Amino acid sequence: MTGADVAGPLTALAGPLALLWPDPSSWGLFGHTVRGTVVVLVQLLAWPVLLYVLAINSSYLVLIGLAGADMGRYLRRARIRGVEDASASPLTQAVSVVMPAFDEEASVVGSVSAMLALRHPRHEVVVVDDGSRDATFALLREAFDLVEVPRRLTDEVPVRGAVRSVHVPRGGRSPLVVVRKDNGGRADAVNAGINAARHELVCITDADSVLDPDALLTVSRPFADDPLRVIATGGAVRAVNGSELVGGRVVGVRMPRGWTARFQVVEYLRAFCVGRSGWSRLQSLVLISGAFGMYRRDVLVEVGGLDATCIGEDFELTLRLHRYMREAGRDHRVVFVPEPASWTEVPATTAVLARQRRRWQRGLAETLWRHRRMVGNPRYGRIGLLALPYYVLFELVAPVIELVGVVLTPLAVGLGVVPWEAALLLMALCYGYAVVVTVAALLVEELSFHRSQRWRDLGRGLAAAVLENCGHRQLTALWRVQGLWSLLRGQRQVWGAMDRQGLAASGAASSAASSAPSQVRLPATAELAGPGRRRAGAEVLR
Amino acid sequence: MSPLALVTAGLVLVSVLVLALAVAIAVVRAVRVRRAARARAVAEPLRPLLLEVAVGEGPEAEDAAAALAALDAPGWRSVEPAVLAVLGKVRGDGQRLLVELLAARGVVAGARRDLTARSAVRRATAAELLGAAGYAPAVAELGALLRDGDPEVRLVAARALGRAGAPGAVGSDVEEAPRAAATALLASLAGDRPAAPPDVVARSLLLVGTPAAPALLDALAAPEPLVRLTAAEVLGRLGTTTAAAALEDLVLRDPVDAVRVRSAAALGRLGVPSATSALRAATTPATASAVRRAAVRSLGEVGDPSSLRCLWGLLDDADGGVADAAAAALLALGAPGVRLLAQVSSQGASAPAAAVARAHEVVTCAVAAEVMPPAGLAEVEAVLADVLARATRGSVAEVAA
Repeated sequence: MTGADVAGPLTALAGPLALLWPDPSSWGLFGHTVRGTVVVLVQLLAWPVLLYVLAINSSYLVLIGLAGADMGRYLRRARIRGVEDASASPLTQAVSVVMPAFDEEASVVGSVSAMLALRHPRHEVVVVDDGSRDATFALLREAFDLVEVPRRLTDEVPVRGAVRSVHVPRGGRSPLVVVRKDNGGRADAVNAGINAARHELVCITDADSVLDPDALLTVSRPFADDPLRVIATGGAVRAVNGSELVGGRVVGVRMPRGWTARFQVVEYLRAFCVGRSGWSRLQSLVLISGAFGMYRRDVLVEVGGLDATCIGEDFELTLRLHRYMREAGRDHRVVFVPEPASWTEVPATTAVLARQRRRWQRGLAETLWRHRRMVGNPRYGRIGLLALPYYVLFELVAPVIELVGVVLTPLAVGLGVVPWEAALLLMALCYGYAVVVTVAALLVEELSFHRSQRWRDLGRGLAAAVLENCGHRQLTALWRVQGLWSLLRGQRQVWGAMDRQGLAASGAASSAASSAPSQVRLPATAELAGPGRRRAGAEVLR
Repeated sequence: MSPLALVTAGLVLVSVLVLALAVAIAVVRAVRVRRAARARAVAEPLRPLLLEVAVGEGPEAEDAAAALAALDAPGWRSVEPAVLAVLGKVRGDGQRLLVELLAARGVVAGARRDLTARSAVRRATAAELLGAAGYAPAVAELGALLRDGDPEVRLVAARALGRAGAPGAVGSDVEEAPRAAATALLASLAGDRPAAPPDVVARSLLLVGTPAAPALLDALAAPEPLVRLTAAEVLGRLGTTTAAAALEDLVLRDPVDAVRVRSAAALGRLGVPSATSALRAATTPATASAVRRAAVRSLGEVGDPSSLRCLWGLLDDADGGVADAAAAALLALGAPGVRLLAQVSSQGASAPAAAVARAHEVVTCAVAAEVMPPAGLAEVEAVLADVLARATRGSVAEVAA
């Protein structure tokens, strides 16, 4: 669940409060006058929207309850997880971390250093420079003393952009491979990385993500525990803006200063840390975030890697994996690991956020359309019968209904169809319900991982849970509808640019540069929009 | 009730809910912070004592252990998590003192009781504790836990058996423990579905170490492929050279390819030159691709010069994976292998194109990345000098003609 759409639909109810029951005798007014049209619309939409609102909110609460149970289960097993053993075992499955990078000069060196320093007995880092126009590669070459080698990559997974060269550190000092290729988009870069990966597990992440030190060990654990069935695992993704980094690691979780980022912090908690746990509990996880997912390499090769023509390639891949395994009659599992996490920088400006949300919604719609055969199909088990119908009903359609509510309510009030006091009450009720859902998610987080420690930040989180309903949700619904509209009109896919300030670079580089780790605080929202730090399509999270 | 009253009531309910949830968050946090502070306050003065016990040297350690054993209940409760946290990380006298301390506080007895608790988490936690303690007398109980109905409990029991059966374990049954642990672990892999993940079992068998070798050697003849495969893997990693003949037999004759792959890899790790002929035989095209690749890699690891010709012949193999492995194996063979690669690389049109390309790639990669040892570099330079001299002689002869 994105959570941006919990409340909106209820606003449509503000109009029909006095006339909840449809009155066919008045339907002749439709189209005659604006008021008549609004009256008819309100009558027609009232009950369906009411039921929709009840269903969507109840479903979110159920998911949060399931997530709470799942996290409780996970925490009770903290002492028996055996991460220590895995970190020392020569038999622990080796992992290739694939990091696509496009114009990431601000953060790439720090990110790669931090990835190489993760706890794992056998892991390599494969950076794919997807035709960067800035100094991404030059910085990597200097920092890791790279030399070009005439290594051919396999062509097990098709790649569109030609591979230009392969580089490794001189003297084999660190398990790093840098592949330079022509620009082909994030998915294409990941596919090249899969070809270059030599280990049996592939972890796909972003060049600007910061992983917790045990992240690789923990997220690879389900593969060892259930080697025959687990084909993919997803880790939690949290917003890092404002947090304190030391040596490329998040040591102090803070709330960012800007409200745009704060709203996303609570959204991420609700969607990634709680929502996905709920789906995993139902064994129906259909989305592994592109910012932190791990896959069996052989299965990735079998399905042909990521689909470079799809804008929501992470969702598409997870769905395709489910479909492929089901159609082949192979028992499989996709597991969510709620802790530790991958930390990613979220857009700090509404312009960037708008582009991101349009893209997400479009990717969601595209992917659901591609795999429409699975929706409601018992052949695909819970995925076909539960998860996908849910995604269609509550993720795809929700922003449209929300927007209808947002537009219809003031119209109904303005034209005197509904008294403004009643409309206000109804709006307060539905957004209040939305706040309940968010605060319940915050409670689950507090009871489980409680990564944020400061009282001040708790207050800010609660405030964000309330204030996100005053504009942010409505705007998000608008952007998502715009995303759907662009798909319907057949507009070209456009990857949004993302301003970066190099959070991982500062943190990780600080440890690389000196033995005494320096503390780095991320700048506030206003400082984030540095020009010239653009990247294409790295943050496909939902 | 009018619709307006309904909505108002709903709004009040929602507000109360939000407020209650917010208060709940605050209370949860406040309680946690307070508890942590109180536990820290009690545990902080006891930390030096725990450190002394963990170091385990001299009478000070014994005194510290006695002091911790004599703590009152609240004191022990605050220090117990720290004791359990260091438990699996110390060996020798420190480990023995910690286990004695836990036994004196009744923790060990409690854990043994919990091995039959109704809650799966309690059974697993108890097994984990006994494993971390390296408590040899619990090996039989942990072995029985491998037949538990809960897969997680079986997994933890398999992990714990490795530590409780390891040579450094403490307790009265130390002599018998490794053998019993190895037998139980191998038995867990028999049957239709393994009781615990094979990699966890293998890791535990590695911890048990050399005392597990007799059971592992017997297991090479087990009817279940998973048992043979795991035994081969562990014997290779333990360096049990007496297993070489049996492993050669498996490489050549086992009906399951996965077993042949692991046996070939194990022979590579053992590095016994006598295994070369069996490994060479496993590289013939009639053999499964995965077995051939593993055998080729192992030929490189064994490093016997008699495999040079075989590896050279595989450089243009139709199976790209086998050919790549052959090039890497020649590189791993050291100076003679590098010489051969450099010669093939410089042959140009007179050798199969695929072999030339592959040899060239592996040599230039190693030189460019500066991972080629000096002896190998000298061979490359010698071959290049030879090629240059021949080319020069050829040009001179041409000019003369």
